[in-house]
Amino acid sequence: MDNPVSRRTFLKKSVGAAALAGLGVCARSLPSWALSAYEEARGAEAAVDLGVATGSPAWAVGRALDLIGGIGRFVKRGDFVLLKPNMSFGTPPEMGATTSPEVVKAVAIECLEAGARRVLVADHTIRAAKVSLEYTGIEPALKGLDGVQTAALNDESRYRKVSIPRGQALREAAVAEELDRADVLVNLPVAKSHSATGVSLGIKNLMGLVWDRRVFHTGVLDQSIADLATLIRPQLTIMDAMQAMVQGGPSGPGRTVRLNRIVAGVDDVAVDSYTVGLTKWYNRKFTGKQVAHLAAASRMELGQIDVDQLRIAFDQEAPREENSQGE
Amino acid sequence: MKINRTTRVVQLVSLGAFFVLLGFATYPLILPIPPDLFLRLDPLIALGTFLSSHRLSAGLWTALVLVGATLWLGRFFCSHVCPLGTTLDLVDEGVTRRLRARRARGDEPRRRRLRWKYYVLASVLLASLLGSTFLFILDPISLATRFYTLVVYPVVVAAINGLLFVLRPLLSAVGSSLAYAHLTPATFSLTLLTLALVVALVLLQLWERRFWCRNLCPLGALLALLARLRILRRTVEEACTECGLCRQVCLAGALTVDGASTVVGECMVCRSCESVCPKGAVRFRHAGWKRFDPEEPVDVTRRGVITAGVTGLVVGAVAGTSLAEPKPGRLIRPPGALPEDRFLATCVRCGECMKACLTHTLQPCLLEAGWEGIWTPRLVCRHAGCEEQCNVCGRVCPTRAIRALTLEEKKFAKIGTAVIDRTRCIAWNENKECLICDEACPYNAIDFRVVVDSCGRGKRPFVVREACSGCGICEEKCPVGGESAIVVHPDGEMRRESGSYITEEARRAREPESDADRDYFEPIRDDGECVVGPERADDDLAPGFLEE
Repeated sequence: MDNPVSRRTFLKKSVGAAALAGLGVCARSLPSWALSAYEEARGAEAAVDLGVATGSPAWAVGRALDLIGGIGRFVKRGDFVLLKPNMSFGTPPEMGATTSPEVVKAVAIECLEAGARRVLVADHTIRAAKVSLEYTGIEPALKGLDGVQTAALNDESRYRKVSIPRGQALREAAVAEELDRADVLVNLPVAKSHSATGVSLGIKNLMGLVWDRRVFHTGVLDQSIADLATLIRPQLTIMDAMQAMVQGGPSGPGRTVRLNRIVAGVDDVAVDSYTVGLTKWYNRKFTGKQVAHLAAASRMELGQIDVDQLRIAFDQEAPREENSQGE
Repeated sequence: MKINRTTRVVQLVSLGAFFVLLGFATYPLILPIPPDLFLRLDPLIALGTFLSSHRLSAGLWTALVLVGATLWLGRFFCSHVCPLGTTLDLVDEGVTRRLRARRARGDEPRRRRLRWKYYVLASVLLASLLGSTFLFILDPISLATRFYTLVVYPVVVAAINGLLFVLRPLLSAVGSSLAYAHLTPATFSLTLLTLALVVALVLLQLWERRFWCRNLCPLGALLALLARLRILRRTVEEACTECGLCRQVCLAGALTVDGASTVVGECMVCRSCESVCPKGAVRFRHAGWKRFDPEEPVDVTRRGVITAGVTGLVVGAVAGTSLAEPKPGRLIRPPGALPEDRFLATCVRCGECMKACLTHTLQPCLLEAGWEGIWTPRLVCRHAGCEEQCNVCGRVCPTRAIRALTLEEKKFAKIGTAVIDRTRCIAWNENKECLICDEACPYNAIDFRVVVDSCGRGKRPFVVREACSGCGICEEKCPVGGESAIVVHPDGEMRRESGSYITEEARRAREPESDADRDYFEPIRDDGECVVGPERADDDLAPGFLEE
């Protein structure tokens, strides 16, 4: 028979559980929105703006970081680091639509060696989560690295709607709440062409931290990308320009050329602008200023678009045979 | 009413195995055994689909194993293994037993009902003979798989995701990777109808325990016929006092009033009578082969058999003449699905493919394929597209209504063609910088061309028919509200019973070089609606770039 006391106990326990759940929700929404704190790293004085290195992915990542003062400038002991590669598609790394797993792994290891408590490699994937993480090779490459997690942020409850005060086309966006928790955001874009925005580089890659990206396309895409870059400001951008899909992007298949370069810098507009000049896109030479969304970002004073104004440190010690593959 | 304890343990283990197998029917398939094992065990599915489509089911051999086991042990499957039977037992013990009417204790009406299932079986097989598998909605394994997939699984997924959500702060705090775990939400159409069928079976238990299994189940009927030849038989020894306890516990309602003998074929071998007998007088013994005994004819009436046969023939005949041909509307079948008439003659509506589908684009039909196509799978691309790297639907299909294709074959098994509605597409209609269909397309089937038309100069999407697989991920992702501005139609679908789907034409069309062949900026056609500019790559800017 039903026992009234047990029913009451059940109700009590349910209420208790609900209260706990409620607390959990409250804890999640504690105001700690701290994206502007990223400005500090950007303001820090450094001898060079960009570090450019060639060679094998792991070697070039290390060298490029050394040139701009080492990963230790950004990642402190005990930090929670959010790495944002492009792993949006279920395509193999050779396709060039996604950041190469070697580069992601090298950066993750750098962060761990700098004392990071936790490294989260995350993206909001376009294709099915399991497929994207697996076929890009990124999840398999990171398997076994202690303290490194790979995640597809494909669940709306992980996003929080925020307003974009400086936004001109994009006034608000639901952005990944992991940004809130992370001490450091490192952007890990891959250099590729894009059939609507010309190129997809650093600040374009930040769209992967937004829940509903359709508004970018139904609105004014180039300006929206610049608007988002006023909100999400990575401390560090490491461009995977080992190869560049110069035509057929963003998802490929398309023509790729080997550039064998890693470009690292604090100023993502500068990283992007420099990368634009590395190769021909759609068979044509462009400067950063000719990329509409970079021009918009420059107008909003988000970074230095003029490559001539940049202090660029080149790595001269690249192993010869790595370098010889050429462009 | 207590069931034999050993039987209960086997029941729970079997149901657990059923759940585990169903759970593993997902991308990627990692189990070394087929996740549709229970469906493959079902001899009714093997026999029925052979009659309807003349194809050997994937479960032919496993079904023969069950046939052999039934010849030996009798109808043990119904009491020990059947997930539907166990579900009904558990619900009965929890709910319906207490509500069961205590009246109507007379044996005769109950005994007479036992024969109904043979009529159901006759209908199912005769409809199959005419090429319709519609009545397989009544196959118990199909029914259980469908119920647990369409009704229970979404609830389980939602519960797990809810739990993960509540625990997320805690999981994050301890740095567990579960903090980022999230299951793709499963949402299905037809959940209420699927539930209603099972609720009906539950309600039948208000009259009689296991009403469905005893009186209606077509698989039960088939096994009961086989069980007439069983070796393991129930015997009652002289110590019997005719106390009638065994009659009270009998799962099959198969015992005569004195408990001494069993209605032939009906015993489900739950062995509850054996364990309940205070005198230990009931035993199950190997009695050796027994020939079919003409003294024990199958308890059916001529009128009943004729009615059942006519019912089956009518269902089969009407199914064969309904709206399924020509196919109505925008029915998109999974890649590797047999030609439509063969598909309808082979699919047993179990829903295993829908459980396994990575994106849950596979949804049950209501009337989209004609009434007899109810619960067969179709793609609902606006809900989700078909994932390029996934081929599990065919690999879990117990009857091969969806062919088990290699991943490479699956990518070429074209299920339709995307069509752009230029009056709604915001690139065509509003000159927006939207490329989402192209970005999402895994097959290089969307080309953007610079076009100058009444909306101005801009890039507009075109579908490359030869490259398009019909996966519908463009339809899913299209940012236009409501109905997508790019929609997959079955036009161009490849429905083959055998042979390869790979064509050189499609392979070539999907290669990146084909873009260059089509000359990136050269407009591919001028169809009158738009004036296409003479732009060339050399003297024109790609979108997103500015003049110096």
